[in-house]
Amino acid sequence: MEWENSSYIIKHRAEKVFSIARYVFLIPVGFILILLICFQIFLGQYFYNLAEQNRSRMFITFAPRGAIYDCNNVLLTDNRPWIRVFYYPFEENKMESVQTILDVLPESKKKLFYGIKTQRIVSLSEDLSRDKLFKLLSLRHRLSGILVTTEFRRRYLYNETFAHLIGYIGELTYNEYLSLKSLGYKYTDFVGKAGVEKVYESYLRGTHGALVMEVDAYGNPTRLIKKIPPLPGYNIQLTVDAELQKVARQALAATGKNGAIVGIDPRNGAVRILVSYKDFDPNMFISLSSDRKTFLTDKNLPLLNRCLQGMYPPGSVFKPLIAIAALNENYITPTSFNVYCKGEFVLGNKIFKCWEKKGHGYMNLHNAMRLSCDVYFYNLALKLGIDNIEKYSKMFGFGTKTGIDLPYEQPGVCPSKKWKLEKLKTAWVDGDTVNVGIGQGYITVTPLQLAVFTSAIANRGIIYQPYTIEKIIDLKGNVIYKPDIVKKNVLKIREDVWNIIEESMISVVNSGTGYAAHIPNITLAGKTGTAQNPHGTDHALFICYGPIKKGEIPPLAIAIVVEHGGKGGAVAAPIAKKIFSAFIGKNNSRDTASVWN
Amino acid sequence: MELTEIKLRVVKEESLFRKIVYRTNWKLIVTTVCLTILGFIMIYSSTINTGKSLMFLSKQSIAWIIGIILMILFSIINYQIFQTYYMFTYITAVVMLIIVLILGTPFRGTRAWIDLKLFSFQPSEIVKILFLLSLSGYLDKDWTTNEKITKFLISMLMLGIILILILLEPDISAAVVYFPVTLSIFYLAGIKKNLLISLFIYIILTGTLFILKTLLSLSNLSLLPKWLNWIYLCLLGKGKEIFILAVTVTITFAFIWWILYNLKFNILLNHLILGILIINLSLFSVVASAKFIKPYQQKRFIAFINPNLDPTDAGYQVIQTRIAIGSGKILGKGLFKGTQTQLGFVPEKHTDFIFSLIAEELGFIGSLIVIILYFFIILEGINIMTTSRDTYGSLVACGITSMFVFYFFFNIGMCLGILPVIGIPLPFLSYGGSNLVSSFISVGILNSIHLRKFTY
Repeated sequence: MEWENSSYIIKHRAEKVFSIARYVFLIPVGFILILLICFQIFLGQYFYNLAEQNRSRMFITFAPRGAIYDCNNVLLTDNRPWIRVFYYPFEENKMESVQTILDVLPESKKKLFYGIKTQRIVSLSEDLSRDKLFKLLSLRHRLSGILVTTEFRRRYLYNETFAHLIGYIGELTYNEYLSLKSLGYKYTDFVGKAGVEKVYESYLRGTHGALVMEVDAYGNPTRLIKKIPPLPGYNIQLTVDAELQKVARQALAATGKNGAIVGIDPRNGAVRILVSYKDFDPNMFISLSSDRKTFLTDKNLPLLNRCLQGMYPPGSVFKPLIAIAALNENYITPTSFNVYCKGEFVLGNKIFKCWEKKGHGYMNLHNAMRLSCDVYFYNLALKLGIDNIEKYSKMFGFGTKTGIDLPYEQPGVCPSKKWKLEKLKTAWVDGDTVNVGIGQGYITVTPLQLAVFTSAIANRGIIYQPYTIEKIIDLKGNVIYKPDIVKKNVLKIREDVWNIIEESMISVVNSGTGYAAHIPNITLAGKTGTAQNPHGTDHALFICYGPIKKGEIPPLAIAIVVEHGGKGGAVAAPIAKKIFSAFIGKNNSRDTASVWN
Repeated sequence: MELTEIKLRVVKEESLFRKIVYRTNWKLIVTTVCLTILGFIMIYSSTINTGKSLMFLSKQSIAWIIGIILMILFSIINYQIFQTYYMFTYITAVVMLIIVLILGTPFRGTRAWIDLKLFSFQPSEIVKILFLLSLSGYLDKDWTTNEKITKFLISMLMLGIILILILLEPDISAAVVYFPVTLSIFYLAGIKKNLLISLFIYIILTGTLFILKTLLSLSNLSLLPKWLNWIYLCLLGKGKEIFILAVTVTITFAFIWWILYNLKFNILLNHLILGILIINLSLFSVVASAKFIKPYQQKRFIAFINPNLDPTDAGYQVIQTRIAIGSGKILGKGLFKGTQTQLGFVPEKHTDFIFSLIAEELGFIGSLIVIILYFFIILEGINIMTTSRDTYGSLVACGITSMFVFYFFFNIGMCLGILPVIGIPLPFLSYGGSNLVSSFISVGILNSIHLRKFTY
């Protein structure tokens, strides 16, 4: 029917419908237009960023941690490839895969079935051996749902030997992660927890690189957008001598007792030996082995760095300090002060015994040092007074931290009148002075402090700040950092005093209590110590430096502490002999005057 | 002035060819051809990574050529013959659907395609035009009786038969388009307002109940109040609960009506019966819908309600297409350089989500071009509807225009995530021969109406 012929009512109605239809049909178009303006113009940047996030994925390439060498460029610590195998439950030929995995990795059965049961990714093997990896890869066609990843892991080549010097690395704790996040650490990163690894973390760590890949909807990389190469960590050369360290550690371990040995180069303060026993294998912390928990509960405290944290009474090795003080302050001359030792010393109603019960007879300074006569030094300390002893103790660095570049150092205790009044709320008495005179009583020192003291005697009055690293070098061999040699103190002590002390200390090794350290044709100077302590058998101590040649500063000064070892001359001195024998043997074999120059 | 000129031309008795060339609505034709050209470029862009873009383009080209030929053919054919033979047209549509149910090749669980060796063909695309023509023809027979309920019921029966056949395939997305088309034709044809409103309420109520059912199936039932649990059981329709609910609703409505009637409220019995019918019909439709809706469609519906619930699968599509459109910004990322679409974050980017590709690669400029072109098509549709010489032409033009509006709105709304993803293509742009051909036929019919508006 044509509109013209249709009735008025219908026509009129249709006109109305047409006018409404115009709006009804065009409103959706306008609505879509407004929506698109909102989405593409106002929210465009937001969606653009979302799309960018969608398409790019960052694959982190881990930076290998810097290697650590000893002073002769012997490799101590490096990285090795660490292969992990993951399994994710995958339906395709599941039975065959599981059978194959069980054939190659039978020990992973439990983890494998856990993964199948819970439909989760499980790590089948944390550290796969080469053989098993090849076996697994050769059976690849029968496997599905297997993922092999390779990462770098720290390797400590000498296991326990450098445990306390190099330290170890471990996984970040949550609090550490929060504080280090801004430096670009990932939560799964390892961080230095002790020793050089901790102190030089920022140099060793390097910077992670990344591959920014364009990925499709299934996560398959399609194209490389940006490549940030990883910056490997810097290598560190330590001042320590691996050979001597090994000898020292073996000698100390052979005694079966806990203890510490610190060896310092008196010419500059470089640490050549740093052994603390009982120790631990730092590799345990990397492999996430459960054994590491036993370190925390072991009664021998393997995690305690005794060189820096162990505080021992110095015993007789403190006597050279008393002698130096008395001579330098002109209280005595080598010949002016003689004492008759009858085996004991009476002060008021107290009796102080000499270690030699029957007594040494008439003693001059030289013999008193050589035979380590206690009575002589009781008298000398009393004559000197605690103020002078305190002054000289502080001069040699006792009671304060040496400032070595290793963490958690302890200062020890250097007693004085003021110290006792503050700490114990009682006044200083002469009996305390007498005790300090032979390195007993309130005084405690760390083996490192003893080594610094020994080295100061060897170099005649220069207190160097001990340091452990020679230099930090980048991959091309450029030196990035070289620590300054710091003279903390230059002692004003007369040359003749040094001569007297050195002479008497040489006689200790040649014909005195330290004869066990004697090596024919080699001049060593030393002092034995046997420190009484409330916990049991005496600590055995020995300080020693050499080999002494005229006009030269001796290249090595060591301090040895054997906890509850007994007599210093019998237990500690032989260790010194072994170390110096190794040192001399090494020098001879190389035909060089000094290995460390 | 104009009128006399045209009259003169008619007197001259121009040749058919000249008549068609002069009077064709070139605006409409050029706009659609422009859209298809853009469609070709975007289909090429979307399939560039598959390495099969030539295959896609050649298939689409064949459909394009067939479509153009059919468009010309339908322009030449006088559309009024569909009015005369509306019964025949309707029967053809029904037969086509029955044939596809018997001979159709299943694809993705739907028996909607007839494989003709060279290309496959989706009869429901043609059926929707045939239905539109026949429904208009039936209603155009006598406008004065259109207000009668019998006419409405017969029209609904016509729609119902077609819908049931389509839902037997089952093809939900093809069925949805019938509602706006039917509603708009009914409205123009002057079907009683009450009935129209009832139909509208039925659609809304069914949709709401369906959303409620989906929401309930998603939530933890043990935490919900008992009556909600009971309603969920009803909507599942597995036991007798649904009948109890239906009877309860009926009695309640009757009781309320009886009270109001006694209180002298002027409510007719018709209204009561209509209301009860609508509610019960909606209830049973929702129960029955479970048989037609496939699990993936259910999932897409869930994703539409809450995309974040299932961001890996169905919800993923909704989120990713929205990101694709937004990330195009004003100028777009450049042709063939869309990251969201080219890297596979947007699925079905050559068919249903082709608009995402345009919006991402050509930016707001590209989407504006699409909107303007569609605006022209819809505007021309409205013009043809209002200036048609006869009532039948107006009804057909109204149905076709509403179909284009629906496709345009639903498809882009789907891409923007404001409407559920149910596979509605964007005519002229989406890859798919049957849809392209049927869209060209629609344009041809519109042009045929336009051509003949001056013929006296």
